[in-house]
Amino acid sequence: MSATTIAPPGIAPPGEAATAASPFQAPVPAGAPAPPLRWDGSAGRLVGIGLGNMVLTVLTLGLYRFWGTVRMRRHLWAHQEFLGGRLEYAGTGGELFLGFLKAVLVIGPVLLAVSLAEPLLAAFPVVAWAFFGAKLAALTFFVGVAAHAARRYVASRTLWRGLRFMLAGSPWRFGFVSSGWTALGLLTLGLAHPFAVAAQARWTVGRLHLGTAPLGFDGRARALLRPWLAAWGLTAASGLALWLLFGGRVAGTIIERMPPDAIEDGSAGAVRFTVYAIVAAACALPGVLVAGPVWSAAAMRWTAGHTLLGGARFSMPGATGWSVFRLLLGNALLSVASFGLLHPMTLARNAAFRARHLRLDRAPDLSAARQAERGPGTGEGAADLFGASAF
Amino acid sequence: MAAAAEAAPAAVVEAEAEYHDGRQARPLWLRARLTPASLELRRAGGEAVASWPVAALRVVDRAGGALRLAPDGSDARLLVSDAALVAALEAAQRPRRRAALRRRLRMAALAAVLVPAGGLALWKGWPPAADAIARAVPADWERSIGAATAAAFIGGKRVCDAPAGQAALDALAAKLAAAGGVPAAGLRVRVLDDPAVNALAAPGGEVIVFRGLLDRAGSAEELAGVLAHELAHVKHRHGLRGVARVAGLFVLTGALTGGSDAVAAAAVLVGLSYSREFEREADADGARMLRATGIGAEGLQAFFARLERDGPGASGSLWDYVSTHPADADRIAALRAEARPADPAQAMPAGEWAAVRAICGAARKGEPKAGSAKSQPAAGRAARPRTRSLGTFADWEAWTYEERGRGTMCYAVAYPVPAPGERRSRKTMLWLAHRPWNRMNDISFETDVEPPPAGAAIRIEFGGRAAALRMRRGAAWPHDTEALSAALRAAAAEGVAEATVSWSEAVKEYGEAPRRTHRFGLRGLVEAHAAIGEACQEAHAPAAPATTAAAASAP
Repeated sequence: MSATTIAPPGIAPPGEAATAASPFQAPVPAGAPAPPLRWDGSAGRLVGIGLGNMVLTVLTLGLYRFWGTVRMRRHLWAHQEFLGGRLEYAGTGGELFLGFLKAVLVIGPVLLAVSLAEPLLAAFPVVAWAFFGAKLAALTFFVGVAAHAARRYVASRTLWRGLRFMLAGSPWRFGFVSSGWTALGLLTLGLAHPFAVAAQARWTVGRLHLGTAPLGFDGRARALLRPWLAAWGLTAASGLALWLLFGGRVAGTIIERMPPDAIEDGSAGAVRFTVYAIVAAACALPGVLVAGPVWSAAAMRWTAGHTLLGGARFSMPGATGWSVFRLLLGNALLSVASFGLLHPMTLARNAAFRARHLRLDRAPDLSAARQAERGPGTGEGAADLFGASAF
Repeated sequence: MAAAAEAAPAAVVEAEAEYHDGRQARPLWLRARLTPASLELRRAGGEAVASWPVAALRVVDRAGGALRLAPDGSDARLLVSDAALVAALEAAQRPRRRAALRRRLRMAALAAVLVPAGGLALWKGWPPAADAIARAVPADWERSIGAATAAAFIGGKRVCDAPAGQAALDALAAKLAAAGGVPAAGLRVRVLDDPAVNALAAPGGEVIVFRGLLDRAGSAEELAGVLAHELAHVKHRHGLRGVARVAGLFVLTGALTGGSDAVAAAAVLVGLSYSREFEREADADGARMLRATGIGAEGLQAFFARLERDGPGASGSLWDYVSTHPADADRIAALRAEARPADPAQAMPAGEWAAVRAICGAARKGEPKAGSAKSQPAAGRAARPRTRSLGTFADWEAWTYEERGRGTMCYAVAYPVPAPGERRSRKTMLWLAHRPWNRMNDISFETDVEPPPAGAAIRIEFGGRAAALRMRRGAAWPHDTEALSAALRAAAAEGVAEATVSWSEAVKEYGEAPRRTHRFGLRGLVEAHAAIGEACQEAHAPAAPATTAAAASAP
């Protein structure tokens, strides 16, 4: 590509000085900070990689997926340029495979025992219910643990100008934090969600380091309460209004119009519940479609706006509800209409969205950043088993 | 270095490049000089920064037209965008690329051998392992699991237990079990009052036969065939072994493949192959049982022939049985090979077979399924009656029925006018039902005596009008049940004496096929309907002439 790829504004042209003036000291025009992130990857290439991975994964009974994941990530990373430096994905398929083998050896027997025990315990209803509850709780906990461990691994394999990222924080503690917020979210019918979002941000960007330089996070969940309550209230109110106007009658009519023999004694309750649940979901849909993206955009702006790096502050002023709505709806349509074949396109769309909207208010001072430790030797095995994923 | 430059002077290329030292974030612009042996990096002043052997150089990526290089085992990176230097570096990478390609081919060859071998080992190795786990489960534990499974299937439905029928069923099961070496401990055969045509063997000897299967079985020998098949499942503990195999299969494949959809689908297919394997084993052993008792396996064969003939979607079809007992041509052929046509013994005396068929009550098929009125007045029930008579009005009877979870419904019912010298049969009926909760008046026709085939063109005629009925779940319904109900009542009020329900037995290629006809008197209908309207405390819309015209057109 052009020379600007190598020497963005602020870097002295080659040959002029042995030590280039770093972009960090270059003055950034006030009022119009240049986008710090650039995306020049190809959605078509990603789809091609995805299709190839799919074929090879099936042919190898699933084993190729570790190497396929690496191929996908290498393209995604290498085509994102932060302050003129391209990201590099330094993980290997072998590391993922070994991590998976480790996890299978440790967790596999437990999962097998649990899944065999479940039908056998059907003989003792009380024990079976207790077992089921314990299983759900343990699963929620371990999904959190695995997700944070996976993020630590991916951060340690992400390089920028030769420096590794490093994500601090114990996966076990994150397991408690995330499962705690999940439980609280359920208990409060979702009202506690902003606190879960804030905890997530503190545990991801808040604990992330570029080399040894920490990214800071100074957001408080309180600021998220208003947009969340507004979205929640709008969804609830519009859902309730639609239910009162049409939903209740529609559900009643559907049940009445059912062939009388479709509802038999034993299943009448279940059939009725299903009809009501579907109609209720349909009533809530318009609210979710409007309030969901508005809330997502608010959470995105809030997360970015409270993230700091080397004395500079990020922001995402252009991430509006409408732009998030288009992004999410497009992603959903692409994935669904193609039965997942075009899913990699959504990765490209997300990267382009981030690049388009992320801003940095000044050049960060990274002069104190030094190389981080190597990080975990193998990666993501547990996350792979639990179906949790870092990206 | 000087020696290398002399040896191949043309190979020396020099250009500016961006250097990251892998220790801090500030980039350096250096002069990079590539010789055949090494890549030298110097500051503009000439001070050497690094010298990397060419053989230890690795291309990290080529994004945006620049080459990103790294020496092996180092965090340092060099970004080269000068076209000449890039070309020279790419050329120097050739041996390394060839080595990488060879490594990949070796990996692919290894995978081509190991992956099928591993898959095969798992496919063949897992079932015996799962069977061993299942066999280690104590018998009383297995029975508890079976009881819980059976309870889940039974749900809120009634278990039929008319003593004579149950005794005949138990005797047949005992005879087959003794002949087949099926452990008698825990063995229990029950009939579930459910129209589905199905039978199943839960772990621990719990066999459940659905009432629909008894209705559809052509003979006691067909029932014996199905029962022997289920007892073979019990003998080989297929229930528990299947649970262990499938549960483990999904964990193993899910873990190995990380939840890949394609592989999960493959796992489902493997799971089905386990089920087919069990079905074949049960067929073969069931047929042996049948031969040992002298009954012969023709019954099961006849039953499968019925499956083939009825196919999916037929009213009250055998599809339920097919979906849980995948039948294929092989399986039927295997059974035909098993069948011995020589002088088969009876499964049970005709009287006992009648008792088994009546185990859920005599009028089981004539129930008004519209309201799930399982306590039909004619049926002998041990349970508290949920029906109440409102009286008899000439040709019609009026009843109320308590529908669980819904309230009380009312219905008027008429039986066909008997032919001279015959007794009135309660096995065929015309229903007018009213359910207050949805304010609907239904009309339907049901018969237990040679019911119309699924696609039959059924016609109801009265007072010079006619309307079409369609079979749905064992009863015949009009398109607009509300309007036809009103039209029939209006006709009765006008003094029309009779309604007929008729259909063609079969589609004949030439001429009119013989029609089966049932005649119903309409005397008393208006009064019976008034009685049920009063009982259900619901003002009925008067039968307006407009709806009459809409419902019934001239024949």
